[in-house]
Amino acid sequence: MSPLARLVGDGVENPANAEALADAARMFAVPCSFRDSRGLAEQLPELPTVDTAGLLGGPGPLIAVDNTPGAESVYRAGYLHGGASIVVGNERRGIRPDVLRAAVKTVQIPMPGRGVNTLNVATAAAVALYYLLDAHGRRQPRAPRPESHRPRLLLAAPRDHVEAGSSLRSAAAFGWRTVTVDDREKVWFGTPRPFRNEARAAARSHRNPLRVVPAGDAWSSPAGSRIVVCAPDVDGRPLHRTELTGIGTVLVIPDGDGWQPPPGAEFARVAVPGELGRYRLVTGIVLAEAARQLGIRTAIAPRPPRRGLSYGSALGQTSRLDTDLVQPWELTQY
Amino acid sequence: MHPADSADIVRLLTFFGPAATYGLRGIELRQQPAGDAGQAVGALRVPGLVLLFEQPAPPWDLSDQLTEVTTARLHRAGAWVATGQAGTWVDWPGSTLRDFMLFDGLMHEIGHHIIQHAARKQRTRAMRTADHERRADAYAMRARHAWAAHWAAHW
Repeated sequence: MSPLARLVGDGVENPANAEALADAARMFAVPCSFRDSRGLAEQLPELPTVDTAGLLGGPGPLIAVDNTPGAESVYRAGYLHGGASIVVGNERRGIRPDVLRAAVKTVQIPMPGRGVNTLNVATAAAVALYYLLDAHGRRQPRAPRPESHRPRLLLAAPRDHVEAGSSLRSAAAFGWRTVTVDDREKVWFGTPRPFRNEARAAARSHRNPLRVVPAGDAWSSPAGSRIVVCAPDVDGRPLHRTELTGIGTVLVIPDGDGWQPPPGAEFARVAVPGELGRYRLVTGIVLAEAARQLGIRTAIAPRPPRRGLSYGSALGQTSRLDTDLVQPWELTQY
Repeated sequence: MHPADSADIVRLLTFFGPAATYGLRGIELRQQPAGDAGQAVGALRVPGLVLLFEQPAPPWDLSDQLTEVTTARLHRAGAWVATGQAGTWVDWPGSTLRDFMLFDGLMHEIGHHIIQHAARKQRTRAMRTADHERRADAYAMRARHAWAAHWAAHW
């Protein structure tokens, strides 16, 4: 039986991102290959590659994941049927034009964040796979006043500094302004400088306005709050069928099983058909689903200021007279 | 070009005084707005900002025909209007174009301003648009007559 889809990285240049992309594919049990135009195969010889003819002339349709103008929201793109190739692009340049031209559909992940409005390429691939391959029976998004229903977010015990940084980048991209981190593994606060630099780079801290608050040693849920623990290995309803938003809701995304949820917590399962994914992939999917349920659209150009009452007078002119427009070269030939 | 410059405007408003200028926030001489139908003369941005738009130097050789209302308006202002197959030709003898801008432009918009200001309305129209225009026209015409009578008495 052929797989439902395959994931293709087009021109990915960072080996760590390539490995994370392969993890995202394993998370959804789809094959992963790379069109290598950046010397990636020299650093990762085991990497499965595909040439341009194999990519463009594949058996199924091409679906490009890129925030190009006019791209359709991945939340409304519908499900895939039969061997599609889902293509994500280079970290900075995106997908190359030949793939964009050949793609039957280009989808984007709506991100309302300011400062940071892109995801890590592997996170974007995981989010796209989640909505294109699965997530049937989703909850309806909220329409009015979505910001007042935005849940608080706790990243619980992340175990890797880069995964934590990339998750904070996703949080900013999906519109969170404050995130609490239970940093019991010491991956974000008070880390040695090399780790700190890598973590901040993954979080795009130079243009990320996110406020990161330490949870402290004894984090306890605020009184009257509703705790929703979102993870791939918990026993609960699927993520996209669980209410993730609402006033007083706290989303908790634990990394592994070292974090003990408080009594009374609800659980939402990040249902994926393959292996458990990296923390950044799980975080990206949870935050994308919460943002989808909030109903926040991508930031658009602000409406022009409303012009007040005005009166004007002009010289009213009727239809143009029955004349022909004569060009200067016609006159010279006359 | 702006047929009525700032000195002309100040002279006129000094003559009419606070009855015309009360609540007025400013008068701006601007270029023609882009994309509007017709040749703009003036506009009022409620509350109290009057815009006067530049006009081509006379005589005007227009490729379109003017409406009857506009033709009558130009005739009243002293313009010579001739419509032919090639277009419409409008000439402004003497200071008629300047006076046209001062009264059919500036004082007409001040007429709109006075109506809105007296009704204390900044966001809604004080009356139907047709009535608003008619009263603004009447105000501009009274102002023209008052100005003409003043200068006739001094000559």
